[in-house]
Amino acid sequence: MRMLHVRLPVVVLMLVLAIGTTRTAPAAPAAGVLRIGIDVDAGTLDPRLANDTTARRVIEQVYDGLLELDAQLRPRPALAESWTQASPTSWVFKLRRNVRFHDGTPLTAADVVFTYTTILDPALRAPLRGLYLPITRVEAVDNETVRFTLSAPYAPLLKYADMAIVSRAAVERLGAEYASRPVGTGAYKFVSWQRNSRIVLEANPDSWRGRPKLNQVIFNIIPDNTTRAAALESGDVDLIHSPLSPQDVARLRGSPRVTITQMTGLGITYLNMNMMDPIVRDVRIRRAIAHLIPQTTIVRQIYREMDRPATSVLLPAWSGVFTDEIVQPGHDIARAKALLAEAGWTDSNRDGVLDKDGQRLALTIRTHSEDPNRIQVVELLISILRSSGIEARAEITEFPALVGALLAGNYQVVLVGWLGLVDPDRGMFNQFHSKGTQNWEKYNNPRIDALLDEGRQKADPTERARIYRDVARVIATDLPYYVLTYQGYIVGVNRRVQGFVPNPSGSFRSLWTTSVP
Amino acid sequence: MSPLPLPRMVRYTTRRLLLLVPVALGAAVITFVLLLLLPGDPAIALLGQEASGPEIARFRNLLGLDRPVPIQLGLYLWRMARGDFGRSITLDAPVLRLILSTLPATLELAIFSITLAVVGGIPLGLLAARRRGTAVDTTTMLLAQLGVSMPVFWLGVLLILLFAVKLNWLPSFGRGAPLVAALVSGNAGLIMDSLRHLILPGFTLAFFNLALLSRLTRWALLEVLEEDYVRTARAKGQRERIVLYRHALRNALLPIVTIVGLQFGNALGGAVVTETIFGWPGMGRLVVQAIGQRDFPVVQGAVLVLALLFSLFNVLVDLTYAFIDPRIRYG
Repeated sequence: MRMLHVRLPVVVLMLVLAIGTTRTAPAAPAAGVLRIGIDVDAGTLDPRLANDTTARRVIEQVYDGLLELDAQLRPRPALAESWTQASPTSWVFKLRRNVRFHDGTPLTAADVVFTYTTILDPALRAPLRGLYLPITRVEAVDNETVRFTLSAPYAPLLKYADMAIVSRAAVERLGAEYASRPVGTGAYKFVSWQRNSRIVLEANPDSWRGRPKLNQVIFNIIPDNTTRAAALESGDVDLIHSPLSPQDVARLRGSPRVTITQMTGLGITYLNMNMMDPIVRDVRIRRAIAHLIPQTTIVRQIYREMDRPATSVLLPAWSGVFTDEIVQPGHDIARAKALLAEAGWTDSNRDGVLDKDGQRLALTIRTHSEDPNRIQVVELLISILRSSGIEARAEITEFPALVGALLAGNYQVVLVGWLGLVDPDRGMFNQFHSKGTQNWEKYNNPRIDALLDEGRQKADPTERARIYRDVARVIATDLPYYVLTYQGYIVGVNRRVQGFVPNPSGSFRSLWTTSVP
Repeated sequence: MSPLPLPRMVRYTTRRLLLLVPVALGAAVITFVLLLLLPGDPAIALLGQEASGPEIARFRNLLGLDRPVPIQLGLYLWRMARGDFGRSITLDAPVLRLILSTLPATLELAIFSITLAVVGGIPLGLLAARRRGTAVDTTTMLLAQLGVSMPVFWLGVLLILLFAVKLNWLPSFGRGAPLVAALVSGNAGLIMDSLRHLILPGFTLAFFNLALLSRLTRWALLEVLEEDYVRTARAKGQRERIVLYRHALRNALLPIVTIVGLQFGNALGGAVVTETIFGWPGMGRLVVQAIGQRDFPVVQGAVLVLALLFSLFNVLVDLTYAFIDPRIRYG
């Protein structure tokens, strides 16, 4: 009789094979159900507090804003069917009639007032409160009309009016639980949320948009990029999007079951140069650094062309504003060395490191540990800087520690990014205005301040374009930022899915017309 | 063999359980101190790049992070003693609810993987010891060497690409129906769903432990098989099966049981790589994410629960010694 040590593993192996081979066909999407693979779990589903991409994707389905942005980032009606600018500092929005929240209560102007008033209340700690500070009052003119009064003309207001409208009654009824039991007006209703596992939504047949074509939308949380790509390839999910590994994208392109769409998104990867640092504050040093960066090589070898080499702080998605005629310093090692020499840095003691007045030219480039591509970029830059006589070192920390360093000004150069830059104001005001809340580099240029203030107030698109191009021209010269890439946005979809329209902002708004036959 | 002296065992067990209190206190204080030493704080983590100095200061005030450290520690210990784990800063939910929603998944994966490791590792080690010096022994030990050398993330991805993508036999991610509930219900479909989702992450987590156990079993058995009483048993004509299982294996079990106990503890809190690769909604991922986001209440609560669970399991392991080895008596 065979020993147990032989029989038992054989039995287990046979059991595993039996279980495994019960599924012999590729998993196909169930009709009417869209399974999305997403990288992080939502932190909260209260739209006023949401600060991660998954929360925003879910909130887009469960809620509506007064407006929404199309693929060209143009505002279009949503809960507001029309709007007028009564004066330079006053906007009036007319709400759509007969819209109900998922609990059956009617949407009224009071809900809009409640939403924006609470966002502006510091006690709520809304992460995006800064975008709405020019709003001094929100009031209900009548049940279907809302007036926004501003402290000064504010051109980006319409771009930011896609903020989801919450149900005042539900918030007051549910309190803190509202964050995990959202009640909105959107095309899909919230069903369930298993933390770190999945969020399930179902169709709202009474949606003001009409009944969605999908019965159910399931957000599956799959943190690993390769597993998410494998899940799409195997048919376990139907839709995935950035972040994705370049190697996985290359493999997915070859899959007959999958369609890959690639576009330039609304994010940038950039070097933030600390203007308060004794070394980096010298513009010649910043330009020398810029001249040393092999931008095309980085995009090709590290980002595998998923991102695009950037030319300036203007994003290609800002149509009418973007121009590739404004260009940052390009890769030019000779010019970099000349600038360093001009700034007085020479290798006086022939130890291979440039020095000046007894001080070595030391530079630390920081980035965060969560993005392997950025770590590779920093490592490459370190080796390039060292070969040019700069004593460069890398410092890689977790994101909260990096942001802490940025806030404290405790850095020389940081490689980091911005996402969701729907408007030039979003991408420039807080970053470059001397009073900007994200001006960590402490850039201070009165001309830029004046231009950015003007850009907020001008409604005419041609005027705004001129203003922001002027800002970009100065930034490309002064270099508080060196923009490395325009981040790509990639969507992978099972070919059976129909009607999904990718949006460079990463929005899933088109899900209400998406179907899985 | 004489029966276990129950009153002594009850006394011993009670004493060990009471020792959990200082364990919990120690874990709580150490976690608190370590979190304080980390750069970055919850305000920055929550507000992210939108953070501004005044917003952060306001947030720190709301969270009580601007209070003196001894007061923060005192309040924290007082809350823990009352079972109040607080609310997650980044996930906006009660910490206890988050722990209770993720702990079953972690326990399920840990127990499944340890079972696989034991069911696979010990017999393999037995086989290698029995066939010492043969091709079977060499092959088994080569496999074991592979197991202890292979990085978990690499093995996991490999298994997904093979079994989920190429062969399409198993799902690539996620947890199916909870196994215990499925077994209780007797619903074959649910049981299959649960097992199918468990196999890949379970094996990924188990492989290292399986390899380690096979090597340890082989070593422990070879030691014991050289003993005089084993030679005597063979000389008396005992069947090899009896020699192996009644005399040799039983005496080799003590170090094996110890390692299994430690491996279970590792599986409880250290399965974060496996959980991340397979999208398994367990506590490992919850804790690591919370550390990255400086979500102090979640880290503190989860570490405390894991420390208590690990200690409880070690009490069980210690009690098992008394069953295995009649020379061991507690009191």
